[in-house]
Amino acid sequence: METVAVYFEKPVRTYGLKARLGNVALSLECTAAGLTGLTDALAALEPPLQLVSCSLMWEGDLALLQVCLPQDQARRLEEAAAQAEARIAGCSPADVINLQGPHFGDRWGLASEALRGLESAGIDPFCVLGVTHTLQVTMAPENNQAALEGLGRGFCAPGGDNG
Amino acid sequence: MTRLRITGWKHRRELSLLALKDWPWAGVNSLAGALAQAHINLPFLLMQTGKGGVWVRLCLEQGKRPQAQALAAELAQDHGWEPPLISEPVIALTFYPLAGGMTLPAEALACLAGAGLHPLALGTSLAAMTVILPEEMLPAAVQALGSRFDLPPGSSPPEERVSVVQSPVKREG
Repeated sequence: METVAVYFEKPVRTYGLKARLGNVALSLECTAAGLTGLTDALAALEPPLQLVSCSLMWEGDLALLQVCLPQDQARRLEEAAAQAEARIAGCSPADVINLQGPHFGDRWGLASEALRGLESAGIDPFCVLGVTHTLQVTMAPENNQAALEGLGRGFCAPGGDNG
Repeated sequence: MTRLRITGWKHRRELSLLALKDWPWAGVNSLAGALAQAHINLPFLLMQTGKGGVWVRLCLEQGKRPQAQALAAELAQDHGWEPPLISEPVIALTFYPLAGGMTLPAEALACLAGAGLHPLALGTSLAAMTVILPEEMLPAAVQALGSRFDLPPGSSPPEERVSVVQSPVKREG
């Protein structure tokens, strides 16, 4: 590959550092057949389900689906899960902090910087997701201020305003 | 059926997927620090708190896998954690835009499942969705997804050809 840019930033600059409030994190478990039924049902929902983040991994034959969405959308997802016989393994109020910046997905060390910031704040998040140019941290609402402070040690918002 | 509109897709190949199960957050942090020290980038990562600890899926360049696996295995052995599991080669297939809704991930998963394909992992960002698939599934996945998304017939996701890197030191000038 051709290298087109090289970054060195301390702190790492982001496009913004704020928490998205008032969400619910739902953990769903289902078989492959159940996942097919669930995604068919979710794809057909009108109006579409609003989403904050979604992730999937597998444990053997079991699909582990984590969906974070606005609180007022949670009931619709629970209904679809029940119809598809997907088990709701967890449901918690959640806030989300997005760390987004140029070429975040291409630069080593940024995940470590974020995890170090959370650890310094004493936060164990529900989920950390790194996709393309975004690092997304999902946590309990009572932890969002401490998480912002911890992440603010390694990352900064435009103009240095981490509020 | 209305075909889904997306504004772009791309793929990145020659990746490895490293999986960890039931590690403590402190252990995950240690591994992430060691990978950063070794200048190993993670183009996709998913870390999720489960019942017995943190479950992790990390993508990295296949050429860096032996070093990353050794770092993870050493931590696992020293602390009695589950050793890392590796899947390779895998690809990261990314779609834009997500547009804030569940439709894109749900349709993509349903569409892939309809073709008998299940991604090893999936994640969304503010503007995109990435699915991780075994590399040999790429042609079948492109065919399945192309039938559902509003793309020119026969189109395929371009492969990333340029890179951006992090410097360990600040350059003058």
